[in-house]
Amino acid sequence: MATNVEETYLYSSPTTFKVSSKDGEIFDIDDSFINQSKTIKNMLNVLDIADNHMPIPLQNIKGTMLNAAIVFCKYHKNDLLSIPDDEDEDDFERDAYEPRRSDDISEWDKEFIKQFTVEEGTLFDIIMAANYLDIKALLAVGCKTIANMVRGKNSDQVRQMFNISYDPPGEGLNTPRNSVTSKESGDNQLLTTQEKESRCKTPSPELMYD
Amino acid sequence: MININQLKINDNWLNLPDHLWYKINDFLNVNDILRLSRTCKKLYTLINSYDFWTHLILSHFGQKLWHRYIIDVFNVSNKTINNSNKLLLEEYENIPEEFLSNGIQITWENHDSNDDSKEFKIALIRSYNYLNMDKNLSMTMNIDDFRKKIYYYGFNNKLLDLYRSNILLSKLIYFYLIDQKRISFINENFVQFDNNHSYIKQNDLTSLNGEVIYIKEIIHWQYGLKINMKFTNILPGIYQIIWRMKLQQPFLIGCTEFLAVPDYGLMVNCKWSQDTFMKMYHYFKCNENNFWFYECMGELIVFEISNVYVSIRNFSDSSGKSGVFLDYVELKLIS
Repeated sequence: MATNVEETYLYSSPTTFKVSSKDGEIFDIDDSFINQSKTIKNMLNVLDIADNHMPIPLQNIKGTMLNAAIVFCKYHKNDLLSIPDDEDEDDFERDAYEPRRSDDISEWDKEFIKQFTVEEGTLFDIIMAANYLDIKALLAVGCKTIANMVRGKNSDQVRQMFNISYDPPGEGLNTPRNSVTSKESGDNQLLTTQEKESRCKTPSPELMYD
Repeated sequence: MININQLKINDNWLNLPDHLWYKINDFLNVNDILRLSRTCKKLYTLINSYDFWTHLILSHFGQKLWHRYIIDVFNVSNKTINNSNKLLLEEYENIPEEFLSNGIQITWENHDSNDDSKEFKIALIRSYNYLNMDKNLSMTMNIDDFRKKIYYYGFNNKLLDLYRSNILLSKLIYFYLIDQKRISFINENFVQFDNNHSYIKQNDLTSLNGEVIYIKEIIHWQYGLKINMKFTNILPGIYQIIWRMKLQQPFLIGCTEFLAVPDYGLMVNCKWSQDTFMKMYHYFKCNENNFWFYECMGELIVFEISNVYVSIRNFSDSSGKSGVFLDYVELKLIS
């Protein structure tokens, strides 16, 4: 690809750049970070700052989060190739009846993501940072972690976890207890014994507000 | 005075951009998603949007199915003129007897009405005509028809009936895609047996409904084996016909046909001889392990919303037929 030559040229003169966080901290970044952060990559392509040692300002990101993202990218610098480039590509191996897998977070990633918590808002911050920097792998780890936390919890527990206050979208039907879907309504005879545990209900009546 | 930091912490999860909530939901199953939608107004609105479910279809089922069910299927139509059912029935004579190995006599026995037999026949004629037609047919349906007919095998249809016309289209489609379209042989609402064999119900914990059918022995030696099953309102698409079965000294001399005929589409007819049964028997080591196996009996193409008639038939009059356990048939949407 023609663009690759150009990009390599752009990055290769100085191998490191400086970036500054919202709270003024300055970090050195190298190829590992640039290759994984699409945002930075695009910035470097657009801005001609190859000789400039002024730090690139990243006004949306706190120093602690930027540092963490840099650490993450350093660790993952070699597995760039194994990350599917386009998440929308059809994956025929997967059983379509199941949602995407989120139990495949590596041990290192699990340990890494543990330092961020919902209560202090840092998990939110790291996800937002990954989103801003457009680091696919980090974003995936963050979203999978959230999904794993949400899974199996009822609405009350989710509200508690995210510290969301309850503001009913409608009356009656949508309150957690009155919701028709949460009642044990007419067993469908086609469900297996195993499936009964985890069965899904009908597209729910809450839809009357659609 | 409001503490700004406090406010920020309280709100921040709801400030997560929509596309990140979408991404999180990629990893959740429908139960979790619906529970999440009941937490608050923001998530409720987000999840109950047309875009949310189209995104989920794209994420879980890929470009191809997304394109078909979100874009194509409602925007194209087939120009073929379908003859009235009555006219079609008259064409039945035109189908050569050898079109099906066990003859073209399609009947449902002991049914309250003869309608199912008639519909099965009409489906067969249409399918026969499609096979001999060189026109390309498209997969198509119209929205009203879809809303009226959409049917689920694993979800509660009665509940659905109350909200059919209001539920988001993309949500209905998503539920159709995740629905496992399986019919157990012990489900009398959908399945019909001949009277010549003794079909025994057996408990089996690994089965779909806890019970399976065992074709044990014949009552009248020389009579045919025939089990019919009817799937209602299958949407356009390409489906694998998967039989879950088990063999125990299978004895089915002659040609056993596994038929699947949609109202509007191309039928498939998979033929097994006694040899095939014995091969499967040994291949899956049924003699040692008593294993169930899943066998795909071909791929069915459905062009318009159809009932699908599935049948196992063996009318050879030389022998009895026995030694087969049947659990369920599944129509698995593959592309």
